[in-house]
Amino acid sequence: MLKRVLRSNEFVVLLIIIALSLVVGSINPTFFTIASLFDLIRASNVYIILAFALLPVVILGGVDISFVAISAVASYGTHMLLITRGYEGGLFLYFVIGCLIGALAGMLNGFIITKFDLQIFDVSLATQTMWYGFTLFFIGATSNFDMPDGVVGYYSSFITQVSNETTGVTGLHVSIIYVIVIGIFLWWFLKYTMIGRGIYAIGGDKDVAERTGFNIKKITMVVFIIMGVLSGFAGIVQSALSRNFNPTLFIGQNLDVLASVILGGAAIKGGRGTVIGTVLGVILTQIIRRALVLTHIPSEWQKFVVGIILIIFTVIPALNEKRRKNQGRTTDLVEAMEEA
Amino acid sequence: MRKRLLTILSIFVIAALFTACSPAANEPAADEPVADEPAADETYTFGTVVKSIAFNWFLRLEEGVLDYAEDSGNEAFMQGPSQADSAAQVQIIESLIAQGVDGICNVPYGVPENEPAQKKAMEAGIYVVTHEASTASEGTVNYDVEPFDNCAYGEEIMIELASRMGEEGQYVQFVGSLTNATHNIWTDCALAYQQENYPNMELIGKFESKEDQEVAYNTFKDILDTYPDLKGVQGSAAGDVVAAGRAIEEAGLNDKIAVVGTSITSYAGELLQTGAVDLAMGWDPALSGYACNVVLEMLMNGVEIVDGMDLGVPGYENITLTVGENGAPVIFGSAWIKIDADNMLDYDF
Repeated sequence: MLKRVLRSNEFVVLLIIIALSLVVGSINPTFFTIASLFDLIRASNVYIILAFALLPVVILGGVDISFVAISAVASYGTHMLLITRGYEGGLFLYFVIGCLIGALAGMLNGFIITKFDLQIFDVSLATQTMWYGFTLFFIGATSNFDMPDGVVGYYSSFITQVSNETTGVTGLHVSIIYVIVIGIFLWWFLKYTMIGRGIYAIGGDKDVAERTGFNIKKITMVVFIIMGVLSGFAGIVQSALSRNFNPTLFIGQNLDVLASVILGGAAIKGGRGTVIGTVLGVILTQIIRRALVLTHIPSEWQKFVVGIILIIFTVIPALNEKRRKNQGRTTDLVEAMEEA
Repeated sequence: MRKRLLTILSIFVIAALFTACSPAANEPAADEPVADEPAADETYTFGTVVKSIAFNWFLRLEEGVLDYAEDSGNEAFMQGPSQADSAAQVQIIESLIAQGVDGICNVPYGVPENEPAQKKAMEAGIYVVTHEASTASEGTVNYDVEPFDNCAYGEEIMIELASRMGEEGQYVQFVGSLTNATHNIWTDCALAYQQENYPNMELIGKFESKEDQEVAYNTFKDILDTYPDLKGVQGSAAGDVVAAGRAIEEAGLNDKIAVVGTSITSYAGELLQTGAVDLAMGWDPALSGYACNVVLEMLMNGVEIVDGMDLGVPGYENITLTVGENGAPVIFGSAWIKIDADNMLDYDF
């Protein structure tokens, strides 16, 4: 059991996170402050929820790039709907409407994919363009900075806060609660429900899954509804944090989210991926991004350095995998016997 | 049966959507007076064409065009496609040529894509003045009008930033992207000016906001952690100062760090009021639209445009006449505007 944990992808990523943190922290000790940790969490939360939205799709064996556009149409659409009607309440109604729009948009992807038996990527390429276009043309083309009274101040709703004379006040933002709740739900769903197991089965081998009796259409549909709901949710959280609703929210960031999910150990071919790995993947990406400022690396170098780090970090889990394979079946067998 | 009905219905919906999407035909108004031989007291007709009418920015530009019409007694109006699209814009220019307007003020979406149509207008005896097109090729415009020289604008930002920092201390610069030519001219000229005039100031670095406020916000928080003595921020994309201002306000550092950069009231208004953003700079598209029409009128009247001339428009009192990189004559004003908490409502766009 312990051996399995030690060899898992999640553990490798965790080790990398620790190693990287030690390096960054030794160059710039501010990295080890509570304030810095809170900032890291705040910056990661929205992207973890977005990565959760994408995770089931990746496990299913597909790559979707339209979830960012669904975030935009759901959050911006909800906001314009409410603000033009003089809504002054809190975020709850935003979440209800936004998740509903997200679910419908996700269903459209699922419907086209299952109805015409198309590739997930191809369909998402089309729906991404369509939803951004729809938002810009039918809803509005400029960022809206009007906030209902109930949403003002959300950006600094902290569970607990710390203050420092030079860098001011920062805190543990409430959005971490969403991450925990959604994370636990998704973990339970993927691990303990028939549909959840079916997602892994389809990602592993579609034909076998079908013969085993999994309802592929239904499962695909559920995966995309989850994607839509969580994308809409993430869009609203992000907009409330940045105090403006933007029709091109998250544009161009879909591949960053995908990279985090893959870094977290999900297989791009499908069949593998975990909630905890995804969380670690996002945190790792965020630390890499922050490390560059904290270690005084000039911006001009950032892209290059990020690219190099990504190469190294994608190769390490692959090497690990290869080593496991080279060791042959016997270890697996021994392990299985040990567990039995 | 139900399925078939559904299919037919969805086809109708999609068809309806497409019809709704297609850019509203910009029919030329048929009753437009056609200019014949100019008489001394005859009024002129100038058409202004913009990238798209779907942006607040160009609706603001239209205010300037209409102000010009009212002040001058000439007829001036603005048209543009509903979506930013060079092909649709060219169509509008061609319909203006057919109408026989006296002059066209064009704000091209794609500069090269618009050049043939501009040339055609000039060949038809119509004066063409462009805006936001200093890279136009020789012979495709009579003049290009720009609110300012980008380098001078960058220096002006530095003067404002330095005065708010007491001319000393560390500052950072933000650009939308490291490949955005305009943003980099602003920051590089600001830096050069600082090195020459404010030796006690020190640039920490130039950071990329990727035109995304969240990226700028998170980067700026890390900058705050890493450089606790930071005293100033120069922003380039409209959201840069907003993002820095948000982080500064949330941290309660409004009085400690000066924030100056390009932005507009609809973006930075709230933070200008709280003092988290100290000064938003930029240019007023209304003045650009006004000046563009004034140049057309001068061309019609045969007034020679020279360096140092006063166009009678705020910010264009002492113009610089140069030649753009592709040979088009370019008129620079010094029409930057400075928006702070007191005058922000005058620039409500």
